[in-house]
Amino acid sequence: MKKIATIVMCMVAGMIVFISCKRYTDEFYGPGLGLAPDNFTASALTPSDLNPNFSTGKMHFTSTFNATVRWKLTLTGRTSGAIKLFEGLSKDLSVSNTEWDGSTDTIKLFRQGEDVDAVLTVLGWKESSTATVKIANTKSHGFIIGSFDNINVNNASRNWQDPTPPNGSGYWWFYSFDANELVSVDKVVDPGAPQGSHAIKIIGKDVNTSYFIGQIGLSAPNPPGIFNFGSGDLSNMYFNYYVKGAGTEASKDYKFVVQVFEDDNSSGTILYDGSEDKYIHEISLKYEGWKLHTIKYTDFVLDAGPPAYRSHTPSRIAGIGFFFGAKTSAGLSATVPVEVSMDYFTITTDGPMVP
Amino acid sequence: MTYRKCILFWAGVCIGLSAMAQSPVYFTGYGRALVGKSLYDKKSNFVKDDTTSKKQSLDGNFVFDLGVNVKTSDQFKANAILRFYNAFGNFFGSGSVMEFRQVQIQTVLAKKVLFELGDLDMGLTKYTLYNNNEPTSSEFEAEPFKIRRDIVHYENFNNGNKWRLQGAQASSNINFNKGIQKISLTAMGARTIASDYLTTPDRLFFGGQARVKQSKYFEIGGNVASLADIAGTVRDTLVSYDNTVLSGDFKASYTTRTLNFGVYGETGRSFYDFSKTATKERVKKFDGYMDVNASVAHRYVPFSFNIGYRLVGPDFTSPGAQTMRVLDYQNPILLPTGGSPAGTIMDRQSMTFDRMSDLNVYNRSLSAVLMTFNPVYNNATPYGVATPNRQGVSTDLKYGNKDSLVYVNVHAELLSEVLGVGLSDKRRFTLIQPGVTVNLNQLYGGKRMLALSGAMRYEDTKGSNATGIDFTSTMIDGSLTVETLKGLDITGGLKMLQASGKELLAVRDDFNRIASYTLVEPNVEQMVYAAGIRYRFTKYIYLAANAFMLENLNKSNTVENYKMNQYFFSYIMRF
Repeated sequence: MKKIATIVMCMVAGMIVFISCKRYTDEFYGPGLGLAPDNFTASALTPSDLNPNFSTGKMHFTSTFNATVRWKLTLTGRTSGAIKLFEGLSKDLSVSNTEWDGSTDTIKLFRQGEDVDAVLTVLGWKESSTATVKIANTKSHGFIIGSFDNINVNNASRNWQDPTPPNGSGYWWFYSFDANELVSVDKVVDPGAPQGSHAIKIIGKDVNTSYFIGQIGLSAPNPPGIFNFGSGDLSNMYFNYYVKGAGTEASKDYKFVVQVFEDDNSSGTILYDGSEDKYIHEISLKYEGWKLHTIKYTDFVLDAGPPAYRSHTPSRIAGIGFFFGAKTSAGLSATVPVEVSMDYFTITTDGPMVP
Repeated sequence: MTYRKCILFWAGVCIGLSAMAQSPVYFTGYGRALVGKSLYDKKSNFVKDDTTSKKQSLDGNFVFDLGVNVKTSDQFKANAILRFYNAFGNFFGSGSVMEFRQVQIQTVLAKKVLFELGDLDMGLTKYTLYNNNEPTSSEFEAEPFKIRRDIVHYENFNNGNKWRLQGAQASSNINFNKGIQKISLTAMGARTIASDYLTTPDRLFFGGQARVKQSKYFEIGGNVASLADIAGTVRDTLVSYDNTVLSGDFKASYTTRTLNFGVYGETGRSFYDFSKTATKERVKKFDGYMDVNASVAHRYVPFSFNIGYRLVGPDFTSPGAQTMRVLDYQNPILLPTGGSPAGTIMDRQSMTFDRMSDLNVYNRSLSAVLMTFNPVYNNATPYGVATPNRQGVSTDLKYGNKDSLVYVNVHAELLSEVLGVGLSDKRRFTLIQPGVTVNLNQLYGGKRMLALSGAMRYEDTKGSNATGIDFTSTMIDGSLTVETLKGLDITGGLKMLQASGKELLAVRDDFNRIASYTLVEPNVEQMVYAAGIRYRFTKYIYLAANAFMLENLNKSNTVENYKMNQYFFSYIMRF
């Protein structure tokens, strides 16, 4: 009997050893639900840089969990209201999943000097983890034609200049056929403006049914009379601008046209007589609110130009205009003023702008 | 014409064999006549707005299975069961069906090896080849329910916990005079499905067992169970399965003057290798299990207690032991549709009554991947004790037997997952299954049966707070049997099932991997009441008339609520 008892003990021990050969060390079985377990813990949310300078670098956040969870890191600009969202299913936050280049996921752009609140939430976790960073410098979005926060609009002179001219740009101007048509062109405070707090707003009506309401524009500084967009790939040039549609019934019959004037004959001045190329891109204003428009320069269509040129030549761009008028050439005898706003006009040479 | 020819052929065979002095032929048989009338309560939500589905049915059938057994010598035996079937309402001869239900051939090779061929009941251990009981069945359930379940089990070849497979089996016992008492060897093979060379492969099962009995005190065994597709019998876009389970077990016992002590253990490993040629995808996994039990039983008082611990790995795969006997989501045949107020036709979901009476919800083939289960019926061990990803303690306490004044059987399990599914928190399962029968007639020495039974199956699942998994089901059985005159029983019973809560079910792909999850939140109540009368001519022949009252309540979707009655007459004989 003792022998059998010994054998049985050996059998039980053998079974335990046998099953122990397979160790169940995985955190869980099957695809992760991403839910925080009941004993979930997360180390403090730590920014890699408390004062990030996004014009020269990036930053990230770190935190370590005791389980693989589905998390969400929300970065909110206290002043701008811009939001950047990171989401993932992992056991930690690191440079691989939270690297931030200062970009935004909303129409609003982060602002220089503003505090950004970072909030980490985890699916199934009742708590949250927070941190704050202050943006030393915002992300560079290319050649800035106009941000309209510091510009001085002078309706009397019809010429105004940005006191902090972007890359040496020239003077802004505005124009209308009939003084009664263009009600106003002004820099306005717009809480919804994507960049900063101001935007340019054009208000007018097609009094004389000429389809033309008003036009503003920017001429390159003279000399040399052409814009210097830097050393990027000009063949990959994009025009990026935020335009706000009024969304009213009346506004759907109006358009906003970006015009590009080339100094093809290198005269140093823009000639509006059709002897040089003029390219345009038209957008309808039937939508409501702010919207980012990103158009490759080669997608602009020729509006006027002699047979000698008729080719997109980014290196010869001398002026950019913004036309506001009726969609139909017969014009609209509207008596109710319509409006359009524009903000943050940039030109990028390495692909579309990433806000 | 075909069946007439068949009758003539069999008659010829029987007469011919009967005439041979050394080849005795004897007959066995099973006869059955059933008539059932079922009808919805017309006020039921499920049918009150429906104008297309049938609200009641009257059907039945007559079945006669003639078993022809031939024993030409001690070395050879063969039997075939010939079925005559006639649906109720068809005139005999015009709507009859005749078919072979079973063919078996046995022979003894070299006076040592019993070789069987044909339709065989095969089984090994609970982790290798085992047909688990349907979870809503109970040994304490009422006689009207048992009558229904016995019919379905007979039709589905559920003989005990074995699987009915078509193949061959060889077994042999070698006795020894010294050292060890006996070595038993069994080998089996079966073709579980036949290929259509499109979507269904040829799938073969091979198994075996070797047992060494040292004495009445000690015994060890080794088992193998393998299920594999034959390469090339299915399209390259489908998964080819190959799974093998190897296991070892032992039994030891020790007897004192009043007590029997026992220890039983089994451990094993599964190796699965699934591949899909078209995508060059191959998944190989192995995992194991262990199950150790200790028991004590009184030699003179009918009392026994067993306690066990088991651990079954999350990837342990054993189609022979994990295939479910009942298809939880199969729609029943009985009054199968109803209508919603919107006018759409809906399938009736199966309930406890269908699980005891509808052959259509029963499964007869081994499944290579884990089948989808309904937590309403069993959430703790949907695939029996071999349910993967479970560990914990189980106990059994028994007192008395079915003929004693009091018979008690309590089964309980406290289980948890080995690995949490989808997150680190593990589910915890509690299963308590008590049952009692009191043979009241023994109180006053009456010879006629007066038995009262009650049983419960309580199951509780708790998950993490994050998932909110919390699921409870309770099933109650009640039974009363009163023998009024000799052989004439009045029977009654009830079966109630209530289940509610929240559970996250795993959805598996054809590689048996969890692909996604489905949140289910059932809130159901199912009631079946039964009353009937039965006259037992002999132990094997009886006539019974039963009435069943069904109520299905789905509190999450009240459109599915209905009441139904069924009146069921049966005459069953075996010889």
